[in-house]
Amino acid sequence: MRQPFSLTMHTIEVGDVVVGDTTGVIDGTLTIDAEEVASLVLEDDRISGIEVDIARPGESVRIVHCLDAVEPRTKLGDGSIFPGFLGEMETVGSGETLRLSGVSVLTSSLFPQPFSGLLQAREAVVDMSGDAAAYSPFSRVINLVLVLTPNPDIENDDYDDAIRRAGLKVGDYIAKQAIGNEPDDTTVWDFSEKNPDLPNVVYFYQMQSQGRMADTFLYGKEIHNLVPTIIHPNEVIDGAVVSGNYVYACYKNPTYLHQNNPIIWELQSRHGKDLNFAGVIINRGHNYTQAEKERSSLWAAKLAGFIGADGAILTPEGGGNAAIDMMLACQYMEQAGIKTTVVSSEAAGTDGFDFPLFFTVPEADAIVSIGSEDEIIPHPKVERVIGGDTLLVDGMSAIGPFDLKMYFHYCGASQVGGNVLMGREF
Amino acid sequence: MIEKNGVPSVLLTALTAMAKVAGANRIVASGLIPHTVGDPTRSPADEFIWRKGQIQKALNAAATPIEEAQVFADW
Amino acid sequence: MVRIAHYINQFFAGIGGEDKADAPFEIREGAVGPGRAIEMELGNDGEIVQTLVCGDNSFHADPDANIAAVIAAVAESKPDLLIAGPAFNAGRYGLACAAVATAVTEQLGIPAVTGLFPEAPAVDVYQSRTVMVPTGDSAGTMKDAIEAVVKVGLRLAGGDALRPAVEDGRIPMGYRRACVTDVPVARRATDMLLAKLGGDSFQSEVTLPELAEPIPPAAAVVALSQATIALVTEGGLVPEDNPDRIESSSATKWARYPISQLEKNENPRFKSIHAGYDSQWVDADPDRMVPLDALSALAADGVIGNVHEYFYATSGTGTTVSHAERMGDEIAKQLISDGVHAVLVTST
Repeated sequence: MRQPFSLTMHTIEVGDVVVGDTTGVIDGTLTIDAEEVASLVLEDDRISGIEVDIARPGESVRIVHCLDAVEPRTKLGDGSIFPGFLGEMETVGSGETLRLSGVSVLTSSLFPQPFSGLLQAREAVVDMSGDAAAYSPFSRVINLVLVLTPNPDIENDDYDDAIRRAGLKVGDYIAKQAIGNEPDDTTVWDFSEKNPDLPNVVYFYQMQSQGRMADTFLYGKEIHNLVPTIIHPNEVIDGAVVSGNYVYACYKNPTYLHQNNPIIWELQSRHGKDLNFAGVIINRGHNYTQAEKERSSLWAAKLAGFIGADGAILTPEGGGNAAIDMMLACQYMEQAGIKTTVVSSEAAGTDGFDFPLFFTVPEADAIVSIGSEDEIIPHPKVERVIGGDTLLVDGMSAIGPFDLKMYFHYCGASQVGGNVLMGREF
Repeated sequence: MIEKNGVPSVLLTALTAMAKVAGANRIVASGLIPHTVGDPTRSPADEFIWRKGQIQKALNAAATPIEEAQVFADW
Repeated sequence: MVRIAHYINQFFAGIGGEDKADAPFEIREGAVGPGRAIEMELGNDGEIVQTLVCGDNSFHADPDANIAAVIAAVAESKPDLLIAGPAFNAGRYGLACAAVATAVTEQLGIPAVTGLFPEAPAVDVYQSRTVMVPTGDSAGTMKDAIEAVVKVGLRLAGGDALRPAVEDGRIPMGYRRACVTDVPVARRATDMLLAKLGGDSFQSEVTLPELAEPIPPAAAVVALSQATIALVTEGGLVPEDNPDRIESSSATKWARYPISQLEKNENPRFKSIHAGYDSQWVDADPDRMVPLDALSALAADGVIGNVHEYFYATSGTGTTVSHAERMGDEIAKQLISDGVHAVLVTST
């Protein structure tokens, strides 16, 4: 590979986030100038109002109507973060990037116009403490929540673009204010050296992209027509992939989980130790016909062969429909001699007795399970709700207590491994 | 289950892999997920003719003796 | 000191063998028979305050009355735990133990546990409702069985929730729950793949089902031109006010509607309530999911005899297999009694 994909990732670990006069990091505490953030966001007149709030792990706080989450990052020196949205179009994944870990910029909002049909923004909840906290990875980071109010005269698609850019802008802005701090960690992401004695592992990263409200963007463009393609891991984690997916809270990968994809970070940490991280194949799932699913999955298996993969880890984004595409990719890879492990969510019914998988292939004999969308989870009454008073589910009062299916938890059934859950048999 | 009770059933679906897993025996590949026997890209008159053709295929499948699960292809 | 009630049969109570299987229900104070071994295992952690004895045959001669007697006794003595058996591979005794344990928990909320050989008949019947530990197939394994039963029993008596079956050392009840784990998903997936690549053993977190018995195809329609054909859909097409309240997902209900109503499609209009696909095209023209126009035309052409007067609908997203099978069965029986010869099913 001649393109120099060597990325130096600097991490500043954030231990607390407070509102104050100037945005910046001192001794691990991130101070946010809320007015500065607000004026940055309101530059876009498609957004008519903003409240900046902070939710910390362990607090009796619930966040509702969650949309995208972004980890604050910026490029050091020249370079675009989130090409296609902020800055110039260029290939990312090299140079130097600064990230603030332990914090996310989380946008929460309702949309200006009523929704109909399948592709709409559904409820997405995060509990920062209590029994329901385990069902979102965002209970374990500090969330700088941007509660946004739309300009009532614009269309939903237009607003969607506005809020996405707002989150990315604020993430970049915050990270820029932290430049100059000594990083807590510096790691070089470079996979050009391979150890011939170790197995080559490829990551098949299937994404959801079916239309507005269920979009994933690759270098700024939706991937609806994407044939599976090869991408460098550094690109994925350096802002090439942005989420606009709000249709199913539990399954979606917000931008934060593309930047921090646990599978990619795990494979990076083990490169040269017990495996060679051979590359990433990305694709859209939810292909519409049997023929299109087969076309797409056959293509992915072919690329895995081109890369010289010995093994592959596969993750879907979505429910049963997406599972079919992924399972077919698993089948074709296995048939081509590439060993696979798939990550899957379950749908074992509310009582948990039904067979948990929508669709399987006989070759899928190595399955990691992350829990079930059907489980009904009791939620306590909390002291404070950020984002709204009423859930978009049965008009329930957001303060609680209430029961809510895992389906409506923000990344509750994260199949890239955002949570630390596992389906177990009782 | 209808089949198990002895009534021949033909399943029209875009997702034939799913149909096989679910145990259907006579499977006709048809349409797309949101409109199994619809084709909005055609004019209404053409769409009706196409749909009639799909249903005829399904009826032929119902009248075809088979030994094991079979997909009757769409193309 | 955990207070325990113990249920045993005539044999373990020392009354007699098969000849005394009609021994009536009785209550004895303290530990009896294997109860003494249970107390030894408990040590200072617990004691058996009451032993409930019933002959195997007399239990099954009137299970309701005998269970009521158990409930009454236990309601009065208020133990922290009930242990039934262990019954090993015994048929009648095993069923009685499982029934008693289940009733005590379901009716009084008191934790209960029994010990059964995994192939004992009672396991299939009560598995999903009863806490069971696996034992050997005969009383020769009593010591191990008692150890296992006491271990689980004490935890439950102490107020602990059930843990995954493998951790508890129980026969699985069969339901699945998400549990917090300390090993991240990405590590589990990578470790599992490397084990598979290295030819090492690994444990999939979901076991694939054994492939179901294929259903033999039903005989083909013989005289298509005289046949009555019915339309069935899982695309959730119903009258717009959804009068039968069919669920948009995880459906448990189905309904049938006159095709004359669908043909008119006015007061009520028909639309899809299925949550798993974009219904705009079907709402605009329901024939795209329930092809009434095409089938009626073919009937008019003489290709088929006639279209059945009702079409059947449910929604098939997230529907559990067990509900789907039940609904299919129920629909089939109606179709057969209505003289339908074949069915066209549309699915999304």
